[in-house]
Amino acid sequence: MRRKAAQTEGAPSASRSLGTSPASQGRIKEFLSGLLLTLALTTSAHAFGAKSLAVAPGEDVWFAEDHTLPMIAVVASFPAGSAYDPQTKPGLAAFTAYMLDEGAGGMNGKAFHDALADKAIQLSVEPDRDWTVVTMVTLSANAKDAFKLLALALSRPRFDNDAVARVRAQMLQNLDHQDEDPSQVAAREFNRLFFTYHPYARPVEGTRAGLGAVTRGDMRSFAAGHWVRNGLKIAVAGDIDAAALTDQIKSTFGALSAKAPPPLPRVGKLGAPGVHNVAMDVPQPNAVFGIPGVMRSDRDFLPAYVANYILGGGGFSSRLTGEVREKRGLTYDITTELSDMHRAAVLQGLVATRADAMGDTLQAVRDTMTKFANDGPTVQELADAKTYLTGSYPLAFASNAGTASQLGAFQRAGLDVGYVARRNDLINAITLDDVRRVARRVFDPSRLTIVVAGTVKKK
Amino acid sequence: MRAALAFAIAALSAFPALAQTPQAFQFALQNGMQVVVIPDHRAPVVTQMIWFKVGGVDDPPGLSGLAHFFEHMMFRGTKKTPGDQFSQTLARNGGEDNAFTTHDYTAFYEQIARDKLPMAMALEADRMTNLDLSDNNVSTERDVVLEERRMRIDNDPQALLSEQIDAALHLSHPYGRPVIGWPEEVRRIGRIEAQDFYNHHYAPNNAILIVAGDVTPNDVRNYAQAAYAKVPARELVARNAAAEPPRLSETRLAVVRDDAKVPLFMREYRVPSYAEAGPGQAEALEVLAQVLGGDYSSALYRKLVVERRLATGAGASYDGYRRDASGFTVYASPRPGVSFAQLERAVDDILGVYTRPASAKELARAKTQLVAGATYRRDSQYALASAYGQALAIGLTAFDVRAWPDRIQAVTPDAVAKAARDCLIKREAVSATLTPGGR
Repeated sequence: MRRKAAQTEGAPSASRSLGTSPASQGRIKEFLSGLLLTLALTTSAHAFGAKSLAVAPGEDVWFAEDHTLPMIAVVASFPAGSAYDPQTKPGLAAFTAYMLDEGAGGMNGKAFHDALADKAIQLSVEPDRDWTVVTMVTLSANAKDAFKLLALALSRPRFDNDAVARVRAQMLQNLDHQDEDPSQVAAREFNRLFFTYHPYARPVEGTRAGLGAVTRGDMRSFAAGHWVRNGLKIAVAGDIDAAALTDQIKSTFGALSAKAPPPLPRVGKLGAPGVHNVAMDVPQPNAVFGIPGVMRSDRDFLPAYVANYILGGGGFSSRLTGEVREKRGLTYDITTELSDMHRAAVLQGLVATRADAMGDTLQAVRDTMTKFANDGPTVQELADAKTYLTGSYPLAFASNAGTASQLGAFQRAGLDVGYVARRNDLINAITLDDVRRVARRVFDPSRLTIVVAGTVKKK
Repeated sequence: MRAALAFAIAALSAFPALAQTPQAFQFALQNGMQVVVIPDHRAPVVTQMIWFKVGGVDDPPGLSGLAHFFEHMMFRGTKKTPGDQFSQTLARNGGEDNAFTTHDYTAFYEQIARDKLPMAMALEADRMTNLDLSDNNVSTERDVVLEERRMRIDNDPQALLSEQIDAALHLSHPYGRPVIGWPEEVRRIGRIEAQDFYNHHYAPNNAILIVAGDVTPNDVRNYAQAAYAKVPARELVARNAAAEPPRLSETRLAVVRDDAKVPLFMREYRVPSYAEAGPGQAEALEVLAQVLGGDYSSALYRKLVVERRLATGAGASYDGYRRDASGFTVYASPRPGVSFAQLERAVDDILGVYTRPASAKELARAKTQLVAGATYRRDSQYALASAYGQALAIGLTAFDVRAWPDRIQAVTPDAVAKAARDCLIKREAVSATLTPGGR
């Protein structure tokens, strides 16, 4: 493959997928970026048709109606992220999330899985730091059953002992599996150092001690407190009309608690500048590097987003790929991404290279960043970035699944539905001065927190 | 000059499921390039894919990885579009592009606004025949490929295990060599090898163009004619027809590695592909894989993970879209305290059960999943185009793709049981375990 696919169609999620294939061992391994894409790509006829449905106060429902294919995609984002884990129980949010299809109401886990499989209803869950995102895809003929099962899972989860024990064993083994992967090891250590005492420092998938300490009671409370209507975002795309969808939303989510989850603590210090090493005996060490980013609410967010595209988010158009892969052949993939959460934003990148080239690679990263901070982008670079970002916008809205996913991402960023249509104009309005200003503000290599997993050899 | 042939794959009223699958239109250019058009008017975007019938099997002996390496070289520029301008031009026009290589085929694709399709075609047509391999980018790209290999394989003990299983499963056939190549052989690849490879395999008569998205067949015919008709056909090198000798025993691998932290059992059988199988046989294998290990209600997961608590994960898969033999894989990860011997006995018990007809309910469930999958794939232009690409690249037809859901529905319990008896023969398989070392 020419380059790592950033968001690949049909690729298995980094999270445990419920009710669908446990793992497909393909000839070609697809890699999902471990970082959430903050901005949806592309607009299309689909997305311009997205409207906000007035269902109930406190609920944010966006809907793109399309009857071409007999299927519906639903993306429901709950305020149920790992940032709400108690300090002694990291992994509680994720553990609770993975129990979603393990039995509810009168159906034990087996019955629930059978019910999903009998109708080819795909239910998957992705716990992250602020949110747990539930995705449901169904044939429209089975929509009523799908929503009923989802309603049951959300409002009457069973947390049966045998299911809890099994999911715990799976999550513990997943931690072992992460320990094999230097990109995961580096990312975990990066978060620990970058966010220090804030809950964002703790791993979403938990720790061994945390998972061991979580009880059924903990999960029941967590579900009751966080699988709630207040703060819930719902995005739907596909073959259903507004009236039918409104009914389904009411009956699926209406019975959930209206209580708001507690606010998340503010972050204190961000970052631990310098190079930190986690010893691992691997042929190819991985480095995660990051710098405090720009919050969504900041007026410089979009310029920062564009700046990130030019520096390292733009694949073969990016400065980092040009310097590190194309010119020097040091790596197969180097990308950066701006992720913003409720309480913090981080501009973070990943690069992997052989042990005796890591030193040169990191220096190339610093040098590229310094030059960019000093000079900003060229006129051509900014023009090209804009044409890419605006021109590619329709691509992710070319499918029901993509549309629901991207609408969900906008919702979680706290945007209004009108943003979908405004977005390209906002990108086009960005000036060279805007990006220069942001580059100078953000890209200071002396602020870089770098974690290398793997043993670095001198040349 | 007009295109040689044009016909639409019409819906047949006798097969209701066909009405649910999109119409695909197929024709060929005079130079032999096959073209498939799959309209999808939901958004003003298109996906163009070109599938070349060349892959890892075509790597010369001692030069494994050449086909994949060459895929990288296709992005290195032509006189008209030098250096990295291929991807840059597409990006400037709001497009995405990438490529991948398998044993049997290499595919290049772009996703872009529909009014840019002629431009995307012009770029592809140019590099199909005018690739400039004259500068010394070869050694830099070789380094990149070695890093890619490290990332995908060398850093991942499970990937290393799979690689060893494949090497053991094919006694003679080039499927036994990794597509990305053995590193020592990749290091030997140079400009001359790349040029030879290009001359022998990259031609319109060895290519299938697939366009899915907001287009009409007529538009695509006109655009393709304008862009590709002038690319001359080439005489192609006959593909390796490797004869695979009979296997005289089961092969067992026991790999112990310090970098592995998760124990894994994996077995792979050599079974007929869609291209080789008898009528209904590949479909039966497809259903069998779904019944055994396609999801959390399937047999291996239900019995090993939920009921007997011997494993934390288990599944099965059938990799049917190959020109020659396919792989049928079963796998499971034992829970702490469970030995591989115990786990494997349990796996064999379950497999034994499915040599007799499964229940109607299980079969219905598996078929529902597979057929629904076809609808879900229609949601993605990339998945839709790929469904046609992988079939045509191994010699199937667009009609085969269209009628697949009906053939799946027609699979009987007896056919599934027979496929299990005939194809899942343990003494001809490779059974492997991966044990974390250093404990």
